[in-house]
Amino acid sequence: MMRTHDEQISSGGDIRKILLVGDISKAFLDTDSITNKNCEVHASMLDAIDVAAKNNFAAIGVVMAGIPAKLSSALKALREVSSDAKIILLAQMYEEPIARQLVSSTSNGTSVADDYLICPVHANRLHECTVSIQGPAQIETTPPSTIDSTLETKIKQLEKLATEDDLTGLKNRRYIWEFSRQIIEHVKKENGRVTLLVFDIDNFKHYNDLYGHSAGDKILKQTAALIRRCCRAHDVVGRIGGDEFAVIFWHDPQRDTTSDEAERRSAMADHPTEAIFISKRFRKEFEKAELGSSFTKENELSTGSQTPLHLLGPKGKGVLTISGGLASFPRDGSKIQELFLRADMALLDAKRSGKNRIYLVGAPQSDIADIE
Amino acid sequence: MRDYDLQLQVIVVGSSADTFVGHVANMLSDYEVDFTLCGNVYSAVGKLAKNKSEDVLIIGRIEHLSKDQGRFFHIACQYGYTCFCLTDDGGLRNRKPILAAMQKGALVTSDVAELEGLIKKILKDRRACPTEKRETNETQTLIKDEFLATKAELDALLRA
Repeated sequence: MMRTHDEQISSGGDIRKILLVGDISKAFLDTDSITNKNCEVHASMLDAIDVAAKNNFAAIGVVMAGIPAKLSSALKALREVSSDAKIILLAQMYEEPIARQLVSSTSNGTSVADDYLICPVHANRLHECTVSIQGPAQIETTPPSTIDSTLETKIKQLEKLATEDDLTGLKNRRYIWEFSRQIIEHVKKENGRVTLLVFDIDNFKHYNDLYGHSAGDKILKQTAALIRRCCRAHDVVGRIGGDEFAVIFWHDPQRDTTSDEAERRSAMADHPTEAIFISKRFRKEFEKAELGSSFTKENELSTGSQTPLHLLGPKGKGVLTISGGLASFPRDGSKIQELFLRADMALLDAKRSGKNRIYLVGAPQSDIADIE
Repeated sequence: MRDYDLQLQVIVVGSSADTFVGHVANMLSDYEVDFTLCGNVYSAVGKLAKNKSEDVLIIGRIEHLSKDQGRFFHIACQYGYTCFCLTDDGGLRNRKPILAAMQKGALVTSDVAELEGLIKKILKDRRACPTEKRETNETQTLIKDEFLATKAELDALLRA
């Protein structure tokens, strides 16, 4: 249960201030209540580092939107001057891959950030998060913190259930749609590009019917792991239907200036070069992977016969393949609905043309294998 | 490190691979001035905030120091520290960060040689003693002898 600031004082909890960095209007649903929550706000990261060095804050909330590109350098400096404070990133949905990376990355054996929250959030969530990641000693002396910790864990579990696909661990359809909507709004301001890949496994229904759903599930899991491995850390990958997957390729502002230039040049180009390159690589890797080759037909499981799976795929060669469609914002649509529609149409065209190919919307040579 | 340098803190901001940073490092070594190298302006602010010395000279390229709408100059100015910024000819076309830096008392130049003049001046003002680069052993011994003689005189006066 969340305790108020006054309750924290009376229960002997941590009453140190929380430092907030950046444009908090982008982070909180109740910005007005921040002033009542024992918080100090600084728009500039440099000012925040200066203040953090001289004060003992319980936690530092960093609003990622609008913070200069070299966020990890800034966070390292923040950590250096204020090693006791918990650093919590306040990320927009499209910044989640970067936030996750920052939380898992370390500098001198310490993580650059302790946790992240997806914005907009109520200010109370930041306090809950701060309490839940307090050290064990404090939790032992203040039992209410244990309750907060359990609540936090439950909230995290619910968030996971709401945004992730149970089977594959990828993002679910709801997340992909909301992420796509937000990232398009974001890149509109920067004249950037977002590219959507929608793909499915050729003849998957046949495979499921022949070998059973558990074998089918294993294929889906392997597909998820393979596409995740082929994509960059900040690309967002999701399972949006039975055997249908989607990938959102977008520009990562955390990359250095040189890459930014390259990305801008790429955004001006006719084709989404990096998205095409990754999609091509994934299609080839998938074909080579021989997914499910260790499985047997469901009716053979009972007899103990171990016939490897070499029956599916184009022309019965025994390999699994995928077909997909690629659509880009702003060229192929200005809204996420349009992009999904165009990418789905391209996917259908790819299927009709013989499968095992990815089509790029509106390209004279639609198959990306023909694009240099 | 000479005793009279103890109060001066020099912070150089930039990558050690930067030719300007390399030049500054060599020059400071020649004048036997210790310095701290900070890879970026964020780490430099951390150093400033934790710094105990009253005399701090910050040296870096203006594109590094003027990040975050020039807030670094504002912070350095609040502490009363001196910033020395190098700009290139391209930088002169974008005057906004230069003006912001100068408004906060930073020294901006496109001539690296000016920095040496500044270092000499600072050392001269604060030491009132020779500001030459590291010389031969005899010169250093001479300076040390002069210092010891002065110290002996002062000790004698105190005893009296």
